[in-house]
Amino acid sequence: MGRFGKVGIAIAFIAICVWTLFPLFWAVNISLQSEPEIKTAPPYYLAPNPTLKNYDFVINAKKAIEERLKTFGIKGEFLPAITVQYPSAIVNSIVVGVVAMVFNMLAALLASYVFTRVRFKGSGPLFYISVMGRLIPPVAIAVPYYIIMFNAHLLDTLQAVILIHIYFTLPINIWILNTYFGSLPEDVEDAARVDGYSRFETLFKFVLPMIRPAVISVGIIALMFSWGEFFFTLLVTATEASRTLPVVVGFMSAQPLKPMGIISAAGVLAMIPPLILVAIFRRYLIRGLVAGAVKA
Amino acid sequence: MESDEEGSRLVGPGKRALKDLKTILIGLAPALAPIFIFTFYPVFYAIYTSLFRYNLKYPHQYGFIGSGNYVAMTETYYFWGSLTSTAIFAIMAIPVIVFASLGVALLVTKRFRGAGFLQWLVLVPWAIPLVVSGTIWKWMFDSAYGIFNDVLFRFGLIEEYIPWVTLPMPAMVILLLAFTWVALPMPTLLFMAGIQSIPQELYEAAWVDGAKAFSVFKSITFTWLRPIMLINVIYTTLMSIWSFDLIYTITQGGPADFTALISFYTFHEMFTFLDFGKASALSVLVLIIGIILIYAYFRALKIGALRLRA
Repeated sequence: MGRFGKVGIAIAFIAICVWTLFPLFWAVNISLQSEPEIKTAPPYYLAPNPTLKNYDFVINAKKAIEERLKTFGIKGEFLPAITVQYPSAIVNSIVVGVVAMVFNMLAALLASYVFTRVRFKGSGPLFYISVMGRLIPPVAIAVPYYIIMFNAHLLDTLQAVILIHIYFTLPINIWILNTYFGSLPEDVEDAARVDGYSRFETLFKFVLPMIRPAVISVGIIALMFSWGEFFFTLLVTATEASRTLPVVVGFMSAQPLKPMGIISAAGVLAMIPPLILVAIFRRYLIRGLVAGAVKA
Repeated sequence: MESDEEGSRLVGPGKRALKDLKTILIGLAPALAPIFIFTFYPVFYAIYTSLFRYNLKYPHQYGFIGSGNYVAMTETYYFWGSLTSTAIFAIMAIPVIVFASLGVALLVTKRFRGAGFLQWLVLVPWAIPLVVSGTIWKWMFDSAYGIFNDVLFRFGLIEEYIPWVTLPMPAMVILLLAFTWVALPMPTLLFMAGIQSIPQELYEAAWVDGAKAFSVFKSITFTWLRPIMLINVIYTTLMSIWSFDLIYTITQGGPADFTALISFYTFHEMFTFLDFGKASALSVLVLIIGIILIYAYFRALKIGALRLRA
């Protein structure tokens, strides 16, 4: 690599860092300021008196609000009461995300295995239908989903949220695994089948170890989607029994005075778990998609 | 499939078919059951409803009107405005995101110190719920407390703070910036995966043959990445014509409906004006536009539709 190449890479490196990190830096910066500091012009480029008050409030909202009411009554600084639901929203998000992830991995694995390894009439059309289903614009399906969940008595339950999240990523995940299976040599499976293993035994004992990266990346795609999905979760949830993080944060930003410090703190906390996850599984994620993406 | 023939000799044809059927049912049920429930019913519902006058504000007028909703839809000024805005947004967003993600992926898959960190970094916006990133972007462009105004002011580029989100084109560009920020990771990830799967021997052979850098890129990298290009173009197109969360948090469709892209407009017809018939007609139209575009991409990139499978 010549000197020119090195300089070019350095510039691009910095550009990517600034582009990606600046909004994050700004969120962290705001989250460390008090509300009057945030609402000053010109804005502080670095928090003048960094404080974790916003984070403390996000986590212990109930206590903080009760104490405030005791000391000031209804007067005083505005606090968004919806924040009380934040801790339960974290739990809900994790439960929904993990279930959606595991189900996606398992269902996409089984389905793509059958699609690529078992010959049967209608396998082609079935595959297309299952992938093409994802082409429907989300707004178009909002009302039907509500009706489905209403009739199934699932409104405001975690099951409803999980079902919707599963469906949203399953088609693309089947597609990814399908192409991955297509690139995999079948001799090992053939040998295993001749040795008398059933199809599913073959899948779990011999094939799974080979395609583990792909299955992991499929799971992460499902988890990431579920972690950020807002609109449909908003639609089918009503209380803290089933609201997930994006919904609670969305409600916080819809508050009259827009408590930016608290919203930013909530947002910063919400992004930590997936960031760690991606850091751990980055190699798997990229490798897992390789065959899946290329063999179209 | 040789293995099947082998199996059939061992257990007999009838049993084998039965076994396969069991395998098929067990294998496909968990995936296809939710997909079928959540695909066919909604599509059927949307098409069916689009043929009826169905406005929750005037429930007694409910009745079959055939293509009435479609005709009424094309007669409103808002519809064409929204379609134009969607086109402007998509035409700006798709090339920007596809080429930026390709460029970023090409860079971060090079071997240099910090490449691993960059590979992680470019995925970061993926981890952030859209409502959160939308709120942050909006705040950066806030007219009074936003950093953007302040920076411009400090450099003497503006005389006074400007309420960017209330101006048509700036609002669209802010939306585009935020959209690029949140939508870049997925295409970049797919491109990274694709680039790393290109056999290095191909490059070595080309260099030995004395090929020029550009022709190497064109004949090896680009050719190899074409299927991924297709996925990414489709992904970006659908994301941009469906984009809703960001509009909802950043511009609310304003100013003067200039950023009310088709999904947002449909949402309003449905949940603000409660005109389910018209909203369904709109969603059927968006569905058709999506299918036409995808077909066009398949043709343009010369990948037959049947090659969708491995």
